Amino acid sequence: MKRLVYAILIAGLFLSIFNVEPAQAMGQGDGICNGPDEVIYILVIGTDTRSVGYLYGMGDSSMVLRVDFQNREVSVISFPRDLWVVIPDVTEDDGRTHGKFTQAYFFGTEGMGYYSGEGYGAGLMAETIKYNWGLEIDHYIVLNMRTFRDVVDALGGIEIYNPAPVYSFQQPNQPKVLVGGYFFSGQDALLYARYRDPKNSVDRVDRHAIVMKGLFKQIFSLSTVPKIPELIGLYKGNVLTDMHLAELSQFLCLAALTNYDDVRFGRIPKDTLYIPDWEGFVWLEKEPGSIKALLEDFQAGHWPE
Amino acid sequence: MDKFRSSIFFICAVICLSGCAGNQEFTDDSTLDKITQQPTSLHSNTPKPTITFTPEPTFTPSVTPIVILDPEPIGVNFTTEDGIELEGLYYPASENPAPLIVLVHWARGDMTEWEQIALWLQDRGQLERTPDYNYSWKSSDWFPELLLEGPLGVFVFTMRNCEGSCQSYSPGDWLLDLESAMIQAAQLQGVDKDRIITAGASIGADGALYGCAWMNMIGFGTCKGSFSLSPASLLTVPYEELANQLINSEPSLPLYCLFGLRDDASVETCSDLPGLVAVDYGYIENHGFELIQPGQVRDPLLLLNEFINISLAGVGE
Repeated sequence: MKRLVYAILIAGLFLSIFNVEPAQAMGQGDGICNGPDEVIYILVIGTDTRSVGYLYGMGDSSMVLRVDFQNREVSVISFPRDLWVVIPDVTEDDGRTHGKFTQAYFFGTEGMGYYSGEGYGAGLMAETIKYNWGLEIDHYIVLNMRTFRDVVDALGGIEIYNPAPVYSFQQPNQPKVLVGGYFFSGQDALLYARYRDPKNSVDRVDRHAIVMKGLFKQIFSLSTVPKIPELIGLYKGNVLTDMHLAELSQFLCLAALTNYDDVRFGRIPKDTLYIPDWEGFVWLEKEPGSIKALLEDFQAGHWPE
Repeated sequence: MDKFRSSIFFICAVICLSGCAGNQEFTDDSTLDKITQQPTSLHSNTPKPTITFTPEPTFTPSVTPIVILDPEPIGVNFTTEDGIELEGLYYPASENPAPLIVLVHWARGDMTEWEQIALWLQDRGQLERTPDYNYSWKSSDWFPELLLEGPLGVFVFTMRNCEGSCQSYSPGDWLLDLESAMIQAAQLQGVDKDRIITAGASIGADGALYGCAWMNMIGFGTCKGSFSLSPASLLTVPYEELANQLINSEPSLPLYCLFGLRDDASVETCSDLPGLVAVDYGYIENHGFELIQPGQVRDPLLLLNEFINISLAGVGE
């Protein structure tokens, strides 16, 4: 018995003296869930492709997650797809320099091949964010519509609350979705997120956030938790990401520890934008530099509140 | 803060060791009697009157008798570094000391997932070969004949919030549970703490490898290899990094990795890692315990048997 006590004494002293914890000593970060010490930014893109794969597609739903493992904070901001931006590093297309934000993804896809950096469409969209607003992206996750639908169905559906009637162009006077709580299948969730509402009572960008919240809530519900490892296994190959599996599990670990009411969701405010009298529908900044200022607050952890 | 946590760990470990009998819940009271019983001296210490020299003092031999524990599983409660009490079961081997395998469960169940396999590995006549029509890994009627080259003890435990099945996704906490479980395993009566191996399914596969690497890192006991069913770096620590560390250690440790080809994360984890024994089961979605099925070309339980023999034979030494 004495030998055991001595062995533990030595191990304890070793760990105390060298100020290491076992997980750290195995090359992990200092943050909770073995996450990195510094804040990381993850670009999450939902593409409009219904087919398998990621050869082409528009980056229709784009969000940046700010993940702070040290302080257990997650905040999310969404970008309007039609925001007019500089798209840097486009090597083809007659010297194109500008486009809609969603096109930054499209031009970078493997199929279009206009971008020679890493990460194809997600890489070019990350470059675009950095060039226009100075925010550096660390990782990306891209889902196509098929994968999104399959994941929601594999979870058994998601629960959402719709805060205002949603209309469609086909039936502009009859609400497609009434105010209230819903349990959506993958297909329903996809339709809800993608409706083009002529009255714009609940903006598309806001509906994306509602669906995201519902998705996360379902992932961490009691009935799904035991299936998480299996779901990661089955869908990892259907998602385009530069995140290592351990980084994904670090993020999931933090998400599981986070109360969803504490996750801060924001969007580029509509009142900072306007629609110019151009051919084609685009948004422009009213005051140049206003989005950059917001994103600086986002990086500092001050926005969204 | 780190120093504080390390110190707490250290203090807890010493307290735990000082009172380890209190941490170990032996279900059979007679076992305790056997353990505490002292040997009786065969020599008289009374000098014969006719002898004139001063007799040398006679010493009572301090040899502890070798106790072979009964085959019935013994309940073992232990406390983690952060004060959570966990339950485990120890299936003692037929010899003392004997090597031990630590089996780690998946998120869809607790330590009882391993019950039939634990009895099969312990090989002390406790296994009743009965079918389970829902779960092939609990259906011992098809289990192959065990061909171990020596006796083996088995230790299983349930990670926190996982009674029945896991109720929260807590990889950071599960790592703490694994660390404490490995320390507990090394202290079990009759265990050769320098011949410990691990196996696990899904989160347990990553946990088993972590536990093995952690044990060798702190140097309290020696882990000789790890067997994984569908690992995927699910516990926030990169599987490949730990596997490389163990494969390239001196001696190199045997690591087995079994997976289905539609389980993308496991394919990514197990493929292309030099030195890893990677076995794929074709284009199936089966994950973790679901890989343990009868009628496979490479029977997963025979592979487990092979892994145990290779690990404990000291390949690479």
